[in-house]
Amino acid sequence: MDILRTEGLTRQYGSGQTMVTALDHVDLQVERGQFVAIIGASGSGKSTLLHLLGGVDRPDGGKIFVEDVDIATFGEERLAQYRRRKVGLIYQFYNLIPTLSVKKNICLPMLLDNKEPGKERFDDIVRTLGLGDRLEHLPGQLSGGQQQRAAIGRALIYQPAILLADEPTGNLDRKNTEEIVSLLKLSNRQYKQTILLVTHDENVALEADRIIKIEDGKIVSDKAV
Amino acid sequence: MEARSGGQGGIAMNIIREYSLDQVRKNRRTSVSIIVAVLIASTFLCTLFVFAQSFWNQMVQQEIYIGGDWDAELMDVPAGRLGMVRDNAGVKAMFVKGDNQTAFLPEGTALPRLLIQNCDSGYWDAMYEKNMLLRGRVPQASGEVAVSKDFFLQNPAYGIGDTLAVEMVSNVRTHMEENRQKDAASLTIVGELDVSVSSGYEGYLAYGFMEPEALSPEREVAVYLQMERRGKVYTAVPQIAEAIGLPKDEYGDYPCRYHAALLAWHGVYAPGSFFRSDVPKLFLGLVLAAGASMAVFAYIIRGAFGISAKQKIHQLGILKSVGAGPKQIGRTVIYEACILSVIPILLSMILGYLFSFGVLSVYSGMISEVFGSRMEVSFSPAAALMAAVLSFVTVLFAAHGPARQMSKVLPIEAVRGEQYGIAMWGRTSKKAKSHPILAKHFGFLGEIAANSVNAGKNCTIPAW
Repeated sequence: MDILRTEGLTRQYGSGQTMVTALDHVDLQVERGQFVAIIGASGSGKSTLLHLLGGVDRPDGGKIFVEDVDIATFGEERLAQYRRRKVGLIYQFYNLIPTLSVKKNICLPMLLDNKEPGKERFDDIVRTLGLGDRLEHLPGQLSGGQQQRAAIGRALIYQPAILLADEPTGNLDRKNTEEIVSLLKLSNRQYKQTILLVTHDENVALEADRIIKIEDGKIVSDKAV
Repeated sequence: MEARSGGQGGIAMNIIREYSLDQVRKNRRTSVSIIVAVLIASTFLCTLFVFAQSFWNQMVQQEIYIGGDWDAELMDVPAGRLGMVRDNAGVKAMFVKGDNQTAFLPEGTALPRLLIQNCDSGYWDAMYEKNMLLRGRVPQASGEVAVSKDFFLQNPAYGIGDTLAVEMVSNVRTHMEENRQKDAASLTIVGELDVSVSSGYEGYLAYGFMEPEALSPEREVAVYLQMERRGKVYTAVPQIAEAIGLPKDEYGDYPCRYHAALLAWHGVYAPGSFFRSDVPKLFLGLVLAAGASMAVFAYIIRGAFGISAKQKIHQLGILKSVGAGPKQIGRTVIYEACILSVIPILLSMILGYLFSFGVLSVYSGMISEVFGSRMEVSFSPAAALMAAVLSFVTVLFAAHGPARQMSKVLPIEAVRGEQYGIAMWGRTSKKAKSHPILAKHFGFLGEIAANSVNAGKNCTIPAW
């Protein structure tokens, strides 16, 4: 069953002669629980696809169905709610709030909903991420790998249906890269989460169930691993 | 999924408020800029309102000094009906004047009589005649009179404390009635008043004392009223006149008049006279001055908030990307405005008063030479509260623009900001630059303006 589907998804930047088509009528289906890697050269449109699926950018055309609801038609408040509850976003540069503790960064999507995670789930995530003794630290006091773990924790805390990771290992060394990929795979198995991972790294991509290649804003190959 | 509202460790306190407070602490330079801008704006507004309050107070006191503290006058009221007036629920206080008498002076005075108007104790307390006292005191008992200065000028043999043996005639209005019965009486002079009367009356003006209860019921007097609800005076007084049975004149009006000048200062106008009064024009001037000041200061403060908002656009993008809604993003700027405006607004209450005191003392010193009276600085909690509220509204208005702009930015645009030169916390933090030349020539406001322009460069979002 598809958890995610796009129809004719298009995104353009600029106007007139400087207009660039980042995504060109992309049709995509992803089944619930799949671990999908999206690869492609820089500027091919893979991050743009991820951002559109995550509701942090708006398409110029086409539809994005998440659990059969077209999020492209959502207003700002509903889209924010979607970002909070339905998807977890992980960026290359962690994008943690530097003035909030690791604990609050992890809980941020729920706190924005005026909720707190259950203790059991929070402890489970923190234990899995190995951040138990870093919860009261500020992000600036953590290593890159630890910051990315905190970012993953934030993406997982609301137990979203879809996890979107944009080059999550792009800024990490080999050891940390392996750990982060393992965590994502664990999350995929343990929490049955659908994961879309954008990466340049073929070794990382090979860890996925399916690899989609994008060139010039179009899907040029879509293979199961 | 297990989740709950509030509770565990208290971390579910308003995260947006906590974030805003953290930002205020970390962005010290910008925070100080905003605080100073708010302080200047609110001090100016407070000063404006203290000026206005002092001016209003001066005008009211001046009107009471020269015209008395009354709202309406009922004329020709029979003394027997005074109780009905006093007991009316709409009447706060009542003063009585009348029972006019003529006292024929002993032989040897320059003019033959005293023209006496008698007043009760409330009248002496509230009305203006006491302010004309040159020497002595006002009458406090029957048989005491305060006489005009002309009496002493033309009859230097008499002084305060002297007793006059006179013949009294009550309710005499013209000397054509001199044939009425005269009763021997003695009057004690207790004061000298700076008043005079036309020489055609062939007498000296004098004021005496009366107890309204001692008057015969048919004796007609003038009644001055202070109303419980001043705003209702123009409808309540004719109703009182009707209730006590006063007859209407040939125009269908009751014999009453109003202290229109004093009422106007309290914002009460006779029907149709609003636009003829100067007070609404002065009030409009105050509103325009306050409005223009608010607009100018809002524009300046908005620049400071714009800088602050742009400095944290990357973080706001992160907040949006993890689910903060447009309202929550806008609220970060509004919270910042609230946090940064409390102390300067409170401080401005003191500074505004001190500044007003200084300026008005100098101004008052200058005008007292011309007008003979000083303008006192009056501090009213209502004026201070009004200034505080308007200052806060100015700050919110100033913050509203950047807040709205921030809430509209797409999360990915804001998150990418760092890649396109927008400041990122702790890395390439774009702090407000110092502009010594502008600061020297235009002060703090010049520096703010320069920073605002500077912040508008290299930014992927439109300038405000």
